[in-house]
Amino acid sequence: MPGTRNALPDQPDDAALAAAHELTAQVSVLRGTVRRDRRATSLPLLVLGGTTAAVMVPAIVQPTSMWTDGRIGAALQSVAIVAALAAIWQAERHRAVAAGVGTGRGFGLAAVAGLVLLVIPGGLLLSLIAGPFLTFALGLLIAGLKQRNAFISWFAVAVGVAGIVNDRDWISNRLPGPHPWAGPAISLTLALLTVAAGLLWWRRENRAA
Amino acid sequence: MTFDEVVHQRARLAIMSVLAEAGQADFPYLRKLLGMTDGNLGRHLETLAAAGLIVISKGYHGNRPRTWAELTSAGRRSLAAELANMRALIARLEQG
Repeated sequence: MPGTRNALPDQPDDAALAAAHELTAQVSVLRGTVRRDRRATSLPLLVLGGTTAAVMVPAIVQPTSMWTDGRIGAALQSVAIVAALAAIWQAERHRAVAAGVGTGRGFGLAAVAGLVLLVIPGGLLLSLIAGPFLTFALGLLIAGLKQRNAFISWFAVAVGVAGIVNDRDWISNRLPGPHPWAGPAISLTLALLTVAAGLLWWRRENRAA
Repeated sequence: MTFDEVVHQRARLAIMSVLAEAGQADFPYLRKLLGMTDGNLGRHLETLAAAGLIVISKGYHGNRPRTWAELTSAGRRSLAAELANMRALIARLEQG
């Protein structure tokens, strides 16, 4: 086949093995350095998790307020999440221009998708029914798929499903006793889990470089 | 087992590995990270682009010209095949 050659060159096995190890190690180090430079996994999780946690706290402190309870609360939380997606997009764009690495395209698309979900009638209805974690999951999943980031993609699905199930009260309804704070508390836990995942990835990205 | 001569070259493999992780990287970033000269990097990028493994785009940020490189789908596949072949080679040689 043109442009190819046998993988066993005219060198002893020891030298070929050493060369192969060196090349794979070089690839691993380079990819780790780029991951640290981009913070492509840790930064989105920290920003999105932090924003989501921040908007869930009022729902626990004042669970029966008009602005935190019910569908108005869910709509405001979804708007905050879309804003977080847009902020991540802008941060990644800035890094792409300043440092010369990355694109930010994934979160740009995610922010647009989140916005579309909130403004089109069917999408708004769906997001009001499913709650803010629909916007959270959709945005994170779109960005994860666009950036080929398997962790982000799967994390989006897992947290999204848990968040939507919780928003439908399928978890809190099974807990004993009156608990108006339970649903928001579970949502807050999911958000803090996202922040924790972001911190873990930050450390991992530092180590890999 | 055969290796693609375009990909199986230390500098070009390094470039493709960086682009696989970065999504997109500009010329100064690649040059600094890989420790290459302008001419050396430029030649390798041209070779990869000619083989259809990367696309090079040029633009401006303000008045500054920028050159960006990004892997193509073929580039991703070729890189994945190269890394798989190397792992297989290591496994075979280590088994003796």
